Amino acid sequence: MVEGGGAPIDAGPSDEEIVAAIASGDTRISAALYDRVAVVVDRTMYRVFGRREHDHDDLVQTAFEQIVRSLARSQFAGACSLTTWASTLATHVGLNALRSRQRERKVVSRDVEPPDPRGRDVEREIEARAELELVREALAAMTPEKAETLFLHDVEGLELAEIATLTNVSVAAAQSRLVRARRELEERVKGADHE
Amino acid sequence: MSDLLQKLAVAAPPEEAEAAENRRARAIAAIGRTIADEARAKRTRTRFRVGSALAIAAAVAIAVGAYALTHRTTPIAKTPPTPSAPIAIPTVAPEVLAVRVSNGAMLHEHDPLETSSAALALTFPSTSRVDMTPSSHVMIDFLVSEEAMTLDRGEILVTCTHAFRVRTPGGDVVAKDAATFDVKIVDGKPRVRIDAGDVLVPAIKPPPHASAQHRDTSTLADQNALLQTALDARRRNDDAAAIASLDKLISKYPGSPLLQDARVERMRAYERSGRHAEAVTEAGRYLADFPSGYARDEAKALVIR
Repeated sequence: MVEGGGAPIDAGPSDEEIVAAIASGDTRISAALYDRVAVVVDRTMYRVFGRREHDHDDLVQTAFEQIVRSLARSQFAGACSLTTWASTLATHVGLNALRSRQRERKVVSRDVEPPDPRGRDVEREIEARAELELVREALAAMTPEKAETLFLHDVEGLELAEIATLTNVSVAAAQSRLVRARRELEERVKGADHE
Repeated sequence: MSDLLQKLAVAAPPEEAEAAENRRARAIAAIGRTIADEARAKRTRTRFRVGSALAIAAAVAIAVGAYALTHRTTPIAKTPPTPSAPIAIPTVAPEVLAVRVSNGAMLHEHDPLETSSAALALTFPSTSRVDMTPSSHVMIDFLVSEEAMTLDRGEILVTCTHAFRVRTPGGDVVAKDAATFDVKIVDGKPRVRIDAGDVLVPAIKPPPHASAQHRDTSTLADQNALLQTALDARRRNDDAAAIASLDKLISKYPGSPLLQDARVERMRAYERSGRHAEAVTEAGRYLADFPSGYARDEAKALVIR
């Protein structure tokens, strides 16, 4: 479960009220929806790319457009909180963008920001950052289903049952996808290390 | 390996308030726009379904009437009345009224489609084909009374087997019958190349048939610009200019998705510029309209003080 899920008491409209307002075409709910899930969407994008990229705001906006469409078209069945749903769609948008940049050979260019030279162990920090970039490259190279399952489970902290519901597969299928994704990630990262 | 992934699970660091505010304003405008688009599409789909049902009912009634007329010579009185068999009302399979996309997706009326770096091909129910170049944006308009689509951006190559209409910001490009033609949007105007067939091309002039969606987008852009102007003025400590811009936004667009932000900003601007009475009035109005709004505590504090 993504933290921040559900509506605390006296914190504006409930998830159900937000969903109902969107389904009825009430644009006045826009700010409430943003305030409810913005932190999760922002954080997910940050985790996918490891920083706020130049088009971070565009990606956040795209994620919100997808969230609204899914709510307006009744794709959100209320099986999880709105924040979990938003996290899933933001992951989808973020990983798509990561994949597309990988294809364009623009993104994962190891152009990591230089570490602070005042740091205690600069070399180690560079190594750690490069390693995380390898993980991102591997995620971008996987099939969307595997990458999203892995990211939602191991990074966003969703439970397998939630992922199974959100991705419309059985728990066994989600688990199998997760195991295969982890194995593939390991192989890809090790393979890249040997190159 | 899992521990490596967990290193990605970091919290996003705080950022400048200005950047966060700008993102918020942009996202809220986009959310409002998308909600309005979806509501409009839903209304159109409902109207279409009702229209289809009426058309089918009318067709059945005509068929029954025609059958009755052709069998009038039968001596009705001599044959005992028989219970009539239930009439089977034909239904239209959803895929019949859908456009098939080369990536496997199906589009229905009013569904938008955008290509990124790859081209896509669309096949209409009549087998007309539309090839979309990368970075193009279209929307399916009609599939039954005629086949029509809107091209907002990019370029398409149409190979149609029947009449086909391409709506563009600069007017409609219409093939009366089978034709092959290319439409490209350049500076908001259509540039048409006709390879075969009879195709009507609009005269280049300001968009006379700009869609409602386009008008909404412009309106939202205007709302966004007014709020942005107010935020910029506030940063320059020019509260008078901020209030003027917010007044304009609130009076011109009373149903704006940015209304709450505008009201909060105006309340703060009044208070900063020493117009306490007006700030209190604004706070009271805000609490009445947005009892669960994000600035309710601030507004309550102002009213109580």
